[in-house]
Amino acid sequence: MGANVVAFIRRTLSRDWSAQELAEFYRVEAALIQSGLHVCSDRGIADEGDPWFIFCRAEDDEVIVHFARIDGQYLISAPAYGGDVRGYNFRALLRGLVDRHPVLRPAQQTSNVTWHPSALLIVLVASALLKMGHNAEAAPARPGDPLAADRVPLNVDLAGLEHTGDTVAQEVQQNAVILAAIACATVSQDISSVPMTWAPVLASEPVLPAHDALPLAPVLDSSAAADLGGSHGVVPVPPQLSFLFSPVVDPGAHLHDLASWQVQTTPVVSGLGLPLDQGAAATGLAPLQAPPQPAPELANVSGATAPLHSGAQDIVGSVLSSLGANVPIVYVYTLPFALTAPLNDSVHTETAAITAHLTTATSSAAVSGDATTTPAIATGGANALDLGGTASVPEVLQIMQNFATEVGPHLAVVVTPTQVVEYDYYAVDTTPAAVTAVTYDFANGSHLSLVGLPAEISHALV
Amino acid sequence: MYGNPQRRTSFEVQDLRRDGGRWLKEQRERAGLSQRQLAERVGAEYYTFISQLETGHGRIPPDRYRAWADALGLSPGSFVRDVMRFYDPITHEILFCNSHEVNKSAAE
Repeated sequence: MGANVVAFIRRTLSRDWSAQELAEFYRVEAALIQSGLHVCSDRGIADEGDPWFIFCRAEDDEVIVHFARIDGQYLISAPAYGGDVRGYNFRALLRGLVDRHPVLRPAQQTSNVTWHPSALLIVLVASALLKMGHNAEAAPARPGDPLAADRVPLNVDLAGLEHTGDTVAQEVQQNAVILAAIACATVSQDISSVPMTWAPVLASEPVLPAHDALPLAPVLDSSAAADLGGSHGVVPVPPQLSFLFSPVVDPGAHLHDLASWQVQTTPVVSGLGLPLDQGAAATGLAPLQAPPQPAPELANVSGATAPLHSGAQDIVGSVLSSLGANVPIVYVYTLPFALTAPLNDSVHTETAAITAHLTTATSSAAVSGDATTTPAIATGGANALDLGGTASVPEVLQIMQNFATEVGPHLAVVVTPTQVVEYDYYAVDTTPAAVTAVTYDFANGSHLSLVGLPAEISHALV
Repeated sequence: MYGNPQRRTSFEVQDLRRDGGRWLKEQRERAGLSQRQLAERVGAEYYTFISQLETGHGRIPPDRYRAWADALGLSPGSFVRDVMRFYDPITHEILFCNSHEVNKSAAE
C-alpha cells in the first residue's frame, strides 16, 4: 500500500518580492513610460505565496512579461521571446534572454561590450514590448497619470514598419526607444551605480561559458547580490572575489596548495550523498602527493585580505561545485545583517590546520510584531550549544552537503573574504528568531557557518 | 498570449478582465482546486499564471478552453459562453444576448 507523506506543518507564506526588487520593477516601468512606451504593471501573490509581477501593454492590457518566483526559483515568461526560462540567478536569466534575442547589438560583434546588469531589465521589457508591436500614440492617457504631461510619445508603430519591410528603420526605432528608456532610468532615478548604459563587461562579473552549457550559473555579480540580499544591506563586491569560486574554474585548483590535502583532478565530490566516512579516497581528498601548485585565481587575489588557504573558502570551493547550478552564491565584503545577527553568538575556538572546532549559537528571543525591531540575540554564549570535539575536513564537507540536502531549494551561500555561510534564506527571512548557526573556525582565521532551522542543522550533523 | 481583436478602451478591457478573473476564481474554488492543481490540469507552464488570470490580466488561450472546462467541471459550451462575456463581449452579446434578433432570424 502506498503511503502519502503530508507535511504536518506548512511553512508560513510570506515570500513576496523584496522592496528592492519591487523598486527595480517600478523603476523600469517609470523609465519606459517616460520614454514614450505605454506600459502598465501589476503584481500579486499566488495562493501558495509565490509572488509574480507583470508588465502589460497599456493599449489592450496584454501581458508583455510575467516574472515570478516559484518555490524560490525565478521565472521569466515573455510571449515575444517564445517561452519561459527558470533559474535561481535572476541576472543570469535576464542576460541569457537578452543575449539570445538581441534587439540592440554592439556595432562590432567582436566588441567586448555588453549590457550593464542594471539595464538588462529595461532592455528585456522594452524589446519584448517592441516585438509585440507598440503604437505609443494609440494609448490613451490614464486619468490622473502624473507622467502624462511630461511624456513625449515617440510614435513607434512597429507594425507599420513591418508592413513596409523597412527593417533597418524598425531596428533604429527599437534602438532609439530602448536607449531612451535606459537614459530615462539613468537620469531620473537614483542609480548612481550605473555610470554607463553601454558599459564594458565588468570585471566583477564572472566569465561564464556559453549559456547552453551553463545557463544558470550559480555565481551572482555584485548587483545580483543586491537581489538576494535585498534589505540585508549587501555591499558591492571587489572584482577579484567573484572569481574565487566560480564554477567554471576547476574546483580542485583551489585546493592544490592546501597544507596537507589536495584534491584529485577527478570531481571533488561526486554527489550530495557521498559517504565521506568511507575514507579519504572516497571523498576525492588524498594526502599531499605532489608539490602544491598555487592556482592562478588565488594568486591574483590581492588587497587587504590575503588569499585563504586551508580554510573555509578552500572547502566551500569544492562543495559549491557539487551543489549544482541552482544555488545562489553571493560574494560580498561583509555579511548581510540577517546573517550576522544569528552568527554573533557563535563561540569561536582556535583550531589546528586540518580540523575545525564546532560551536553553535541559537537565537533566544522571538521577533516582536514591530518589523523595525531587531531580534535580540543571546550574547556571551549563554544559549550557545557547544557540540564539543572537532570536525575533520571530510566531516565538514559531509555536513555542508547534508545541510544543502536538508534546506533544498532555499539554500544560498554568502562568501566574504574570511567567511563562508551556507544558509536557508527562507528561514532567515521569515523566522529569524528560530534559526540556529553552526560555525567551523579554521586555523587561517576563516570561518564556515551553516544557518538554518534547528532541525535542518541537527539533521546535517547526523 | 492572445490579443483581444475587439477594439475597446483599455479601461473597459481591464474591467472586463477583472470580472472574468473573479469568475474564474469562483469556478476554481467551486471545483476545489488550488491554483497549482488547476495549472497542472490545464497545462499551464507556471501556476502563477492562474493567479495572474484571476487578477484580471491576460486571457485563457482558446486552444485550452476544453482543458479548462474539464478541469473546472463545466461543459465546454457553457464555459466558452461565459468566458466570451469577458474576452469577446461584442460577439457574446450578438450571439447570446440579443434574443430578439435571434428569434427573428430563426423565424425567417
